[in-house]
Amino acid sequence: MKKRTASPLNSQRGQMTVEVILLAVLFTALALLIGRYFKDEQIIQDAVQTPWNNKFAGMIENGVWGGAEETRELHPNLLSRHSSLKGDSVQ
Amino acid sequence: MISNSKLYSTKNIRSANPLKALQNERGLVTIDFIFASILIGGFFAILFSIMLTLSVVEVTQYITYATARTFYAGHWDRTQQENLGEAKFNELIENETVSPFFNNGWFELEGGPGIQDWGDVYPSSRNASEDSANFIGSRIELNAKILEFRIPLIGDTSDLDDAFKANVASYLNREPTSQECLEFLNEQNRFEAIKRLDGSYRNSAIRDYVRVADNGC
Repeated sequence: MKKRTASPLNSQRGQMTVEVILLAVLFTALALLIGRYFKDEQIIQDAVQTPWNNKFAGMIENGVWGGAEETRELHPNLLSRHSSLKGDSVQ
Repeated sequence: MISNSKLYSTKNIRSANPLKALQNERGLVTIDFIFASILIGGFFAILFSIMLTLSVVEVTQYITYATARTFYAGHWDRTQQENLGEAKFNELIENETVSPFFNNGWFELEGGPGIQDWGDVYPSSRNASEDSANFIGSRIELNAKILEFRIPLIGDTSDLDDAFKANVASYLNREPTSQECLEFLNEQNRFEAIKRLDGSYRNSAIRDYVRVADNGC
């Protein structure tokens, strides 16, 4: 009976290496994909710049939630009151 | 028991069975771990910088308030009022507790004490009487540089330079100076002022006249 020679193709060696490389590629791709999604959707900017421009700046400058420019006319010092710098007559 | 430093030393890896080394699954999720660390670190940095910025806004608010309050009090003339306000501003920003915020590049105060009448900045179209709309005081531009940073892989917090600016202000008005008081009370001006009084003052019941030697100036 002819003895069967061991083929290199039947070797199990390196199987794990291939799988590990595939998994590493998968995880890297996943990380890059999520990173690109964050960049494209501007999630970090939406978490910092957008609330600053649309909420915080107005509250810091004029005491009203909103943009600094839009809330300028809502500054409390513009509220109508009797106090006057020039001595208005009593109504 | 073999310590980690011995287990992963270059010598041991070279001498170990290559098949076993390849079957070692340690470090398989390193990339995920690094990415997760970046995400967590990034969001921590965002929360920390926002928290610190809002705290410094309050500190700056106090600086403008103290500056405006010092400027407010009457003095001989307006220049001296402004000098006192500016001295208070300088004293506060050079304070050893407060100054690190503004000297380490995280925050910048622009425009100095900003003592003047800021009425031109605000619209007077609302129903308010223009006379009562007081914007005399201190207004300082705060630039929160700390909020401008880049988180690796996931992007920047802003696409503009100096995107995180806001004007912090305290408008307390200003007392008349001695010079203004004397000018107002000189004989000619006083007579003109009496003539301009509203007619309703004629009906005031004046029973006694008390002479006051001190005119308050």
